[in-house]
Amino acid sequence: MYPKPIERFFAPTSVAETLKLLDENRGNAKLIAGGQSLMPMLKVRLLETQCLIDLNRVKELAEIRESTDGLTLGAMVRHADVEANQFIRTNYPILNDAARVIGDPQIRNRGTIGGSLVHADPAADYPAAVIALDARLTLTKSPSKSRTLAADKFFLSPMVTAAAEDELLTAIHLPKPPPRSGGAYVKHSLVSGDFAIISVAAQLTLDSSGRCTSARIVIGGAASGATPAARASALLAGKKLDEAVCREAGETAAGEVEVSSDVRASAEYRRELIRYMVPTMVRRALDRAGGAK
Amino acid sequence: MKTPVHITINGEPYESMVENRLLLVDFIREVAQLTGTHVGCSVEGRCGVCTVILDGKPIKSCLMLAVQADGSSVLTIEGLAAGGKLHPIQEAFWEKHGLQCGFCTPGQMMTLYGLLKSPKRTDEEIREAMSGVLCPCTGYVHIIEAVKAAMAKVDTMTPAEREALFPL
Repeated sequence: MYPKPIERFFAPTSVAETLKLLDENRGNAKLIAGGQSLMPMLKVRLLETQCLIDLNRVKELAEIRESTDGLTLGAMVRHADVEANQFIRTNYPILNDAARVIGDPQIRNRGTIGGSLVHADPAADYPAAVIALDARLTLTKSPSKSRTLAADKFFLSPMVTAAAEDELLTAIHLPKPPPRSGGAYVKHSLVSGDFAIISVAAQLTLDSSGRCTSARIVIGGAASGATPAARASALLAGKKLDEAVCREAGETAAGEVEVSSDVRASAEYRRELIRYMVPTMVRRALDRAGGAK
Repeated sequence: MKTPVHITINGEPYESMVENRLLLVDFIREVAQLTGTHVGCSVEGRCGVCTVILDGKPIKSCLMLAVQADGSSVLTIEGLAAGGKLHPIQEAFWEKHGLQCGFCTPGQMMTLYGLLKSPKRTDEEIREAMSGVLCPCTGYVHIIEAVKAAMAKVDTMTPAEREALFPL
């Protein structure tokens, strides 16, 4: 299978140059990041484009920067770089968990966090992770014009995001988690490297007595993509997270998040997975937050 | 619609005016005429037999356009053996019979090349590292044995010997 002919190909080296090309070719251009989803879509001709703008030479988009208020990832940071980054592993384990289970090593060497987020596959790994981490995404229209929005406002529906045609996702900002925070992410798929049938991201913060002060549970693979389980999250806040509370969070999440049946799994199977996976992830997040000590 | 592309493959320069949509794997097979890199699933890169080393890392050459690789260095299965001597990866597959039909073997070997450059070593890490290439024949047991045998060979080498074996 082969992509349709591509009239123009550009490989800009800066964000400014990319935005100029995007503007000049408005309506006809596709941006290619790692291409691990876009290339198959071009090959099976779900998509066609007259103009392809390759982001792989834009070095400024490939940086990981630590700051006092958190971490900023450029959109072209590859999954393998997230996986290998020790600061991320320590401070944002949820993101490390997610990066490690995307596709396979070859795909992680090419695929990027920005590409995955903009692609917005409802069963992808990063969307649930960045929503649980309360990430903020920067969309840039021109060198002087950009906007930042919360990750949970970015994903509108499966494969659809808030990014306009002339906007480039440039950065993903992760706020610094408060002390005694921990997170975990897991997905269930039948074949290694496949998309999630259901995935669960859980991010917790504890007080000095080990009581949960805030929690954010997000379900991936839900009917409308990564979906916060707001009631289940609220239920954890203010409590000691014992077995009964963890189980109740699983039941609540399974009841509140809309799931559907498709070729991979039935809705009831997905609900059962949520029931089981939420308590497991809450316990792992609790452990990482130091709550098990 | 065509763009000049220059790619170094196994140390040799290849230059051609190619269609923008030409896949890297087809540049390797048709322009450079190096047909050791195979095409399997040809769609979403699930099978991994087209794995090559691009600028030091294993990638699937069917999920990338040749124009994107302009100026890059690629290593393919033809570049593994040097001076008429098999690479330890090839020796290990030979000794442990890590193949049956052989169709996926170039992909397996280039993936292993990537693994041997990194410090990952536990059984689970080996399986994960090799998970990107499908082998319908072997059941993977002999492939894993070949991986371990290759690791054992490489581990006994001096840093200089190792460096010579991993040019990219």
